[in-house]
Amino acid sequence: MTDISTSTIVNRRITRNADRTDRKKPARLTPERLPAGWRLIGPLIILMGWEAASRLGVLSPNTLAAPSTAVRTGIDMVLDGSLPVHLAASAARAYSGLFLGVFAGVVLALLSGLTRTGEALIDGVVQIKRAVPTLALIPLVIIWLGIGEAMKIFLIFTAVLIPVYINTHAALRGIDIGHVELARTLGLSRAEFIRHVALPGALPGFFVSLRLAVALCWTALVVLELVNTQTGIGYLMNRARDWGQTDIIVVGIIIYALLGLVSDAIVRFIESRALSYRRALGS
Amino acid sequence: MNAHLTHAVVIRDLSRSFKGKTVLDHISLDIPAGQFVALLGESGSGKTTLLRALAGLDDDAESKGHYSRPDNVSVLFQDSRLLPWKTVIDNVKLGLRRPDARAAAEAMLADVGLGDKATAWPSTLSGGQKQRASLARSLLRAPALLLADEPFGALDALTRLRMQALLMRLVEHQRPTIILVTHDVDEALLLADRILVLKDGHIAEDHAVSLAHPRHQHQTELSLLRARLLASLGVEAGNL
Repeated sequence: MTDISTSTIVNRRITRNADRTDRKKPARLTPERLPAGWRLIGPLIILMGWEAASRLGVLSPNTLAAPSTAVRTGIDMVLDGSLPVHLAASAARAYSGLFLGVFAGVVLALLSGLTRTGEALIDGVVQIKRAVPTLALIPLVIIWLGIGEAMKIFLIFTAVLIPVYINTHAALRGIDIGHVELARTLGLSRAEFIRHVALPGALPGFFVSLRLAVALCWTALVVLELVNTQTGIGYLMNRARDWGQTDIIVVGIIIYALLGLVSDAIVRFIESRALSYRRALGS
Repeated sequence: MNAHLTHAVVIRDLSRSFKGKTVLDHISLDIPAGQFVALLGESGSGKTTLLRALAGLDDDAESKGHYSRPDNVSVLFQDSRLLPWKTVIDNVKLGLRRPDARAAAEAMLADVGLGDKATAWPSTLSGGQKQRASLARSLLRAPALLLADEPFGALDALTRLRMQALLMRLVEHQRPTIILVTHDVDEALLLADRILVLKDGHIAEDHAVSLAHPRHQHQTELSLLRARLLASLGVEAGNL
């Protein structure tokens, strides 16, 4: 009797120890990686709830059109040619301002990041401009440039210039001191240093700024197309507001979202090509 | 002065201080052309400061005294300082203005055992391979003076031994004057013709090591010198 009971106790103890060794693996404190596509679950649920609410009559078309209605309206507008015209007008504005702003931002960042005179002349001015919201300049710029295209492109240009300048300039100033010392001991000229060390070193910072700039140029456009225009996605949405066409407003919102996503994807693609050395280890 | 003709490096009364704190204190030193000098010393003894002074990388120091050294100097850093956005071969020939730079760089890479890594990105190399590339970059310039700041300090023991052998093989033909800053007493004993111990910014000891290469750690002459060097660095050999 006693023998049996002791052996059970021993056995139990062994199992308990085995349990304990299983449990020795430390607790997982961070969530596991999300499988591909699962990120879409949240948006899909909202979309389905929205559609259901519209169909059940909870959501009146006067408040918000159903997603399916908006998609149908969008397709109709593409087919009758009205949407491509407005889209082209918006894109022309956004990308002219973007191009000019990125160009000027990079030139100013180079002058300010690589020369002392440049930094003394430029940096303070840009930092002050940074503190002023672009949209606060609208009244003044309308007086200067009128209410036409020049005003809209100019305002996008100034909005884009700031983040491009700030990030590129910071990247140039934050250059690895070890690389500077190396360049000096290798006897590089100033031009060689800029070309081989300073510019490639600042490229990641420039791409960060480019992604901000691309998002910003479309954001600025929404507001600017409220002012005196007969073309553009912003104009389309405002006219739809006057006529209570919520489906067209939703189409506009979807287009802005798509433009933002596509532009960002394009910049990221260029970035991954330009900075391919970073992926060398498959990280 | 006659000394300037036979000596590659002549240092006279060299002092360096940073924000009032003296790091080098009136150092005078002559190094004959082709001599391999190892610079030992505890942290803060001024050995890296001396090396950086000779490399011309101490703009922020208050300087006194003067030195002369060859114009053609290469610096070998502890971190290999390869530019991550340039392939290995472009790193090695960076700043080289010879028309045959690429071919010379390829030959030098083959010499350090990286012949198949010429077009690889530095981030794909191991620590030892990076330091080989860095060594190739330094020696491709055929320097008259090689300044090495603990170049093997961050490598594992086996890789370090291989790199030491590689360095000795490569400089056998070029015969540059070498100043090697190191924490490693055995490294100094195995490689150098002369070992200096720096203490509080001045040269406390100056030993010639005339033993032929290759050397082995257990040679009697080296063992005696090792005990002395360790003692002067504050480590009692008996405790090891």
